[in-house]
Amino acid sequence: MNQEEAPAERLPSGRHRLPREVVLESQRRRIIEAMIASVGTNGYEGTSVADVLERAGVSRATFYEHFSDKLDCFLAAHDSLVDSLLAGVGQVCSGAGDWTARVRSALAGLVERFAAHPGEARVALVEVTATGPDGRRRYRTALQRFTPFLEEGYDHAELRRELSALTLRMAVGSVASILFEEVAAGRAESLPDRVGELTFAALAPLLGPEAAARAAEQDRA
Amino acid sequence: MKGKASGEPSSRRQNREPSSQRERILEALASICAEHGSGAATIQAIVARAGTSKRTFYREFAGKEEALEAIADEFRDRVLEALTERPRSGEDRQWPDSLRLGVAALLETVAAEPEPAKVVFLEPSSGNRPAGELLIAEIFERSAESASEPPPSPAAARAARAGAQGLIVDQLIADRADTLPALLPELLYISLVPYVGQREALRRSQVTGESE
Repeated sequence: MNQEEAPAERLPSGRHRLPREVVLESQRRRIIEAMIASVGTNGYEGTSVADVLERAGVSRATFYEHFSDKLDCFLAAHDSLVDSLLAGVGQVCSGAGDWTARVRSALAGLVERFAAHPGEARVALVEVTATGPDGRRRYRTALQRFTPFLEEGYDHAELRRELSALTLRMAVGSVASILFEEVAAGRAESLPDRVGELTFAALAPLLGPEAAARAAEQDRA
Repeated sequence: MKGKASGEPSSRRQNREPSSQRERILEALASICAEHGSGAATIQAIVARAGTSKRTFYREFAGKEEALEAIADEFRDRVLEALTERPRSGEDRQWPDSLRLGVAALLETVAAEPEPAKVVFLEPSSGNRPAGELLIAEIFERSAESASEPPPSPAAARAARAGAQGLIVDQLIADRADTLPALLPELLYISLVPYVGQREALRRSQVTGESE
């Protein structure tokens, strides 16, 4: 995953002995990073393929070797960003220790990343839904990918057998709605102040409000 | 195009032929947004679908944003209409059972008018709070007017609203607006659990309202 975090460097141009796959992968990464950076700053509507080419330092022909159009590229960029966000959350959630504390730490890690990179938050949540139905479905699929992290909550849920099959999805949807509102309002930088609210929203459907409030108020580790 | 409303009187706009240029424009805009997103809804595309002219569009609205706001306003009016029309038993007047009426009215309106609902819940509105969030907040406020207990923590109130919104957004994206009324128990559970706890939320969400 570290490879994904480091900015993609431009490879030396001209004749070199790098295998073609390496060149293609490097181009693709640069285009995707340029797309995230551009949409993160100017929005999807405000981003043109030309902006992406300029940021990525690739030719138009190269862009179209990788992607069929702007939306195709943006959706690939969104997928890649979500992969990276999932990896971050997964790392914390699968760790040892109290489950509710892990959920809180994972949410804290996520919003600290969003606060440090508000453009990523804008791409991941807001701009993807602004691209139309395909983007919205992508957003919904992305949210579903986070539900397994809350599954462990069933082991701690006293009323497990009575809870709806949609409980995990509702918990994730609740967290996503809060994140969406904050980011859409331009408050991504202050998301770390919301960790308590987010933790409560994630846990209350599974464990009830008292346990959720206790977890939300845990000291920041 | 939909057929003419049949014999029985109906307040459901969906069953009526759009009676004015204004309504035709709003229906065209909502359907373009539902199919392609508001980005695709240029004035040109809207008037082409509505079978009207740009001149007519600008006689009714200053621009697309104003037309989108009109859709949200009318949707809100429809929800409040549905809410006042619902018969209520004595119990339903009291918080938290009063929330059932509001949430049921909302889900019914979403199911009856999925395209305007998508505008309200899925289109990011620039700057201001999204229309869907405001509408849910309003339903909670109206329902809680009869509450005797002190309001819960802000985190709980927000989780309740966000939970309701999350499920509605989820179903709208999946084009399952028509199944939302059947998810009333889930919606009530997620809305009530931060306030009253799991057992109470389960109990109150399973009780069937008398109004159906």
